[in-house]
Amino acid sequence: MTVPSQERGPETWVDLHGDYLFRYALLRLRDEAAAEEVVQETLLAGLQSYARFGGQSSERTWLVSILKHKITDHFRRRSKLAVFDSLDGLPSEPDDVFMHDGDWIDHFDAQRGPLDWGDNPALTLEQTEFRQALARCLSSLPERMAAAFTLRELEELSSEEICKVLQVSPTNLWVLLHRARAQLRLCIETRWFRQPH
Amino acid sequence: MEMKLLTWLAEKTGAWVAQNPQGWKAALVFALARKLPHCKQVAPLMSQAMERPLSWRQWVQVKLHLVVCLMCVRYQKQLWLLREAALKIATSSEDASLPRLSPEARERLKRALDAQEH
Repeated sequence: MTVPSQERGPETWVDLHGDYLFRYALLRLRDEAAAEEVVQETLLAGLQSYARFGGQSSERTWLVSILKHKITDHFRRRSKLAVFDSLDGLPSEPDDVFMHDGDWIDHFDAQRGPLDWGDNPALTLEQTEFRQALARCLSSLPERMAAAFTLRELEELSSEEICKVLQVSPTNLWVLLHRARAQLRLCIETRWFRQPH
Repeated sequence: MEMKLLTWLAEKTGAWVAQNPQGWKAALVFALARKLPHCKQVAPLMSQAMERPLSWRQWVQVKLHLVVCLMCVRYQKQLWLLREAALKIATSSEDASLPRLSPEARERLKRALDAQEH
């Protein structure tokens, strides 16, 4: 396979791929300084192993694959700093959407329970504004929940891998994911489906 | 009397009973569902089911619950939609309306690359 003509080596990386890599990292790390840091790590690692880059993929694809590792490393470092496995201090699921009277029929509060998202919510996913709203919701999650959700749903790592990276037990990972999903669901419903736009 | 009960149930739980007014069968399902966990216990199971196969007991609990709870049917659909949406944003880095590197950050990165290269 030939190297596409726009591949012009490391000097061009910041201009050609800088914004792309930065956005990729920012969405996942939710912090500009941290995103810049992993992008820099990626570019330097890319430079070091450039000799081994055979051009089987585009430079961008290759750099993104390095970036993915750097992002996982970032979460690994964070999980060593903060004890991720403890669920203490973590906001519980937004359970005010449930009724407290224990009645089995009305246990989802009719006012706050899941709203009908319309006939074809899949179409909504095509809208840029919707995706931006979802990214904002993701950035409002507590760190551990966001890390679990990001690694699982954006990076598509397996549960086993995430447990190793975040140093959590499978049971606690399920709790993290459940709470992250519950909170994201509520956030996107509040900010998108209940709002006129 | 039976119809009255079913109408009441239908009002409370949505369309299912209205569409399936099979009398005592519906009543049985509801009686059974009444013994089962609430939405609050079922919601984490619906999330777990996206990670691993549930035990048969949990699976039955969820399935039966979904028969009588329109809200949880919605909730489950929305969880899967959220997964789809996450994949969409995962590949949205091309989107030029998203943040860019600041000129300063761009300079810092270039300097770092230069320093390493020479």
